Order: sequence, then structure tokens, then C-alpha cells
Amino acid sequence: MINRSVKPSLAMLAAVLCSGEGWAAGPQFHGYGSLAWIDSPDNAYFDDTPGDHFNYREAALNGSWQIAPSWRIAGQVLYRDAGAFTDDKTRVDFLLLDYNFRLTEHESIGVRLGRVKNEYGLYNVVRDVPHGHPGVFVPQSVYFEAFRDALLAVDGGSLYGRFDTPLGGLGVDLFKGTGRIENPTAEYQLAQVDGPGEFDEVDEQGLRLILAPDALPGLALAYSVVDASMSLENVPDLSVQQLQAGMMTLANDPRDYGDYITSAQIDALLQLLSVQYSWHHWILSAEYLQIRNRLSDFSVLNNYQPDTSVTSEGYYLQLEWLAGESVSVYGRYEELYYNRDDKDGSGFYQRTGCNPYTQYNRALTLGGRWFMTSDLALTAEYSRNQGAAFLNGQAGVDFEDLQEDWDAFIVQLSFHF
Amino acid sequence: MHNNKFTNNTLILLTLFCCLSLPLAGRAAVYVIHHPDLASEDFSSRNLVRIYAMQKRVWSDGTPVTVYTLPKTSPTHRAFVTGYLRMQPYQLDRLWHRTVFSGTGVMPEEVSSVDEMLRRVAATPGAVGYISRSDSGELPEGVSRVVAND
Repeated sequence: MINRSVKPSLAMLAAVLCSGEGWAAGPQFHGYGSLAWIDSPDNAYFDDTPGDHFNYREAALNGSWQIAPSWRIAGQVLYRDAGAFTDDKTRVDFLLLDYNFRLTEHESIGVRLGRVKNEYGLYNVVRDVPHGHPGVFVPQSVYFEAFRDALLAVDGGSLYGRFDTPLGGLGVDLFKGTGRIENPTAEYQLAQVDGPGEFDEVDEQGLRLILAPDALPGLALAYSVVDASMSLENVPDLSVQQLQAGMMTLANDPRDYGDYITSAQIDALLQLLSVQYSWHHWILSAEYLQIRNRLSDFSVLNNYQPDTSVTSEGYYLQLEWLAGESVSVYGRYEELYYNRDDKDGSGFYQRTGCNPYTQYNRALTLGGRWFMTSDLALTAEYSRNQGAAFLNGQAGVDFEDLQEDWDAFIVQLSFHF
Repeated sequence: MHNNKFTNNTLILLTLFCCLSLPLAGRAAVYVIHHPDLASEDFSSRNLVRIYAMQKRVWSDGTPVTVYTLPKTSPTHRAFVTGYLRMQPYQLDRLWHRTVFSGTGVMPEEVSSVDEMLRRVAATPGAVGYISRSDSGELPEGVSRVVAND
């Protein structure tokens, strides 16, 4: 049945895959799912109006196969409905071929090609995995929703290395490729409206270094850097009549500029410092993020604006107590400022007339997780927020109505298999 | 086929660890077992964490590491995780989830019984697993027991 010309290729492939000692077991299949009830009585949160809802739910199916000691394939499909944060709900989360070309007891070096998840900080690769981190969501001060798609994965490749060094275990991850932006969160981030044109993809490259020092077992230190750039695409050409009508509209209310953006280029350099220390049944985690943003080629109704640069920063401090075999308790304090030189958003308000609360967020979150079985868990948490930056990127929300002080109550049921 | 290997094989080695520190109950209740070719390897708690976190991929001679676990509902699994790895079972799950759901690795192989654990470890070069002390009466002849470093 097989064409003769194909047989040698298959034989060669088999020889490559069989190189090395031993075969692992067959393919593995796993998955997870979750459903959350969210009550945010003051502000729209994962919804376009304040109140309670079941808008946050997800399901993933995962397959991986260690086909030989050096070769592995893996893929995952994710369905994720995050209410006002989502448009396309189903995506290929990753699909990759992993070739571990150098593997000894003390070092491992390899390459992954395809759609690969970006190693960035402590939680980026598991931000959607309910039991992969404490809490319903990863800290929004560092892993905020508006940049989720852009940072999650790239179509391209990554190079990884793990080394036993005199200092301790060292991990090096490099990635480069194109991130697919499948939701309009970046447009909302720029102008609080899904105007004409869209950010479809982001070119990015990144590096993460992570060290687990031998001198202090339980400690992990990491530095991540990502260089990303994206352009507004598919902007329709405006007729003279449309330009004139737009100018009249903006003369009445300049806050509507988001509907008339004709070009934009965003370049961002993200740097993230991470530390995590596990001691007995306590895990202390902290991360500090700094983003240097540059907005260029920015025009409204074809009128080009001066380039602008701002530096954003965010951090969190999180303590988790692994209280028992089926219970964990956690607390987190975090802050995010879109412009560290305008922490209360007053400059933003003077410049644009838009809601200054959207420019910062401070939050205290307390919660706990109960594992009813080893794979089924119930998580409950309460967040007290000041500022509304965590709410940016949502579709259909009237950002002018967002309150500075707001609460969120969340209960999530989640399982893995 | 596995049974033949099992009964004829005097190379089966089970390494038992003494209880040097907390939590004593878990360590006292569980034996770590491995394929006989791994007698010279490091089975300290620290290294066991790397092994069971699926971070250690090969042994010193290049043999691939194969990790077996009992079902998560097994008291032996819980005793092993809390006693030897010194973490909560869901903490170990979190490490596995990170590996699998990020596409960077695979989970260990779960076996359904102690008998299967013994057969698989005996038959697989580079394999490591664990059994409860109460099951040690089922160990075959020729089993060696050593006190490992911590």
C-alpha cells in the first residue's frame, strides 16, 4: 500500500526516532475544565455590566507523546470564555515538536518548533491552568488580561537549556516568533474602544533565566525580558466625507478619538524580575514588571501625532499556605500603573478627558482552595480593588462609568484529568 | 513476559530509606524502589523531588528515567509525597500540570497496583517507584535493602 519512494523516508524517520535507549509509553492525554461564578457589584468584570455571572469558563484537551528519548510531540486545544475579554473562544494553545539534542544527567538542551508557549515569569505558561497556580487568576498586575494573547505563545520556536552549575540549577529559555492576537483587548487597551483596524499579530522575542541556588534550597530567582512590536492592520481608507464627519465629531467630543485611529505602532520592552521561596508548607512569590512602551506612527483621521513613550510598572507579593493535604490558603497584594509618572491618572485625564481610574489598580486578594478529590477543587476568593486598570481590554464596557473602588467575589469549580 | 523477567531476575533491587527527619510517618510507611542497575544513583529526597517533578531525564549512565506512581487516591502515594518529597500531593500535581499543560514534558506513568509497580520497575531499566512497607512481604528473593543518604 505504501509507495516505494515513501518507504525509505519512513525507515529513516523510524531510525531517528528509535535512536537512544528505550521507548517511553504511548501517548498521554490529559485535560482540565473550570466554571466560575463572579460577582462584581461595582464594576463590569468579565462582563459588560456590573453584577454576577458565570461568564468565565474553560476546557482544554492535551496530548503528548515521548516518542523517543530525544523526540516528543505535544499539543493542546483550549476553549476559554472570558466574557467581555474574549471574542474567539477556541484556539490551538500549542502544537510543537520537541527535539532534545543534548541530554545528560547534568544538562539538557533542546529546541521546540511550532506554536510554543512563552516561558515568561513564574506563571505565564500555566496562566489558564486552574490548578497550576494559587487563586482563580494569576496576578493581574503582572499578567494582565489585555496582553494575554500577545504574550501567551508564538508561532515560531524556542531554544531551552537546563544546566547543573556550581551555583545551582540554571534554566535558559529563548523564544522568537509571531504571537496571534485573537481578541480585541489590545485595541481596547489603546483607545478603550474596538475601532477600525485591529492588532492581529505581534512580533516578539524573549529570554528567561531562572536559577535555583544550591545554597538555599526552595529558592528560585528569574529574570524575563520580551521585546514585542505590533501594528494596527486592516484600517479602512477614509473618504473625504468621512474625514470631515469625523473631524466634526471629535470637535464635539475628543474622547471619541478611538473610533478614528488610522495608524498605530506599539513597541514594548517587558522586563520581569521573579522570586519564589518555598519553605515547609509556605510559598512566598513576588514579581516586579516594568514595560517601556513606545507609541509611534500614530494618526487620528490621518493626522500624525508625536511619538510618545511611557513606562508601566506592576508588582505583587503573594503568600500561600499549604495548610493540609486538601486545603491551601493564599493572600496577595499587588499594584499596577500604566504610567509610573502619572500614577493617579490625572495627566491621562487632562490629555484625553477619559476616566483616570483606568490607569492604575491596587488590589488585595484573599482566598482558599479545597481539593474535594485529588483532581476536583473548589476555589473561593475575595478581592478589594482601588483603580480599574485590571478591567481594561473588555469589550462593550463603558469605561467612563468605571468606579475607583470595587470588589470582586469569585467561586470556581475546577478539575483535571 | 514480565513475570518471567520478574522471577528469574536476581537483579531486582529495592532501596529502602531510613527516616532521618520529618515527616516521619510518610517515610516510615513507604519504600522507594528502583531497577537494580541504579544502585549507585543518588536517591536523596532532593534528587527524588527532581525525579518526580520530571526534571531529571536521564541517569548518570544515560539511561532514561522512567517514573511510576500509584493512583493519587492511594494512601501510599500520599505518604510517599509528604514523606519523601516533603510537599503536599496537590503541590506535586501542580508541578506535573506545569510540565504537561505547557507542552514541556510528560507526566509519570500511573500503575494500578503494587504488583504492577513491582513488575514494571523490575522490567524497565531506569525505572523508579515506591511501595508501602506493609507490601514489602511480597518482595521476591534476592531483594537488597540499603539505607540511602538523605
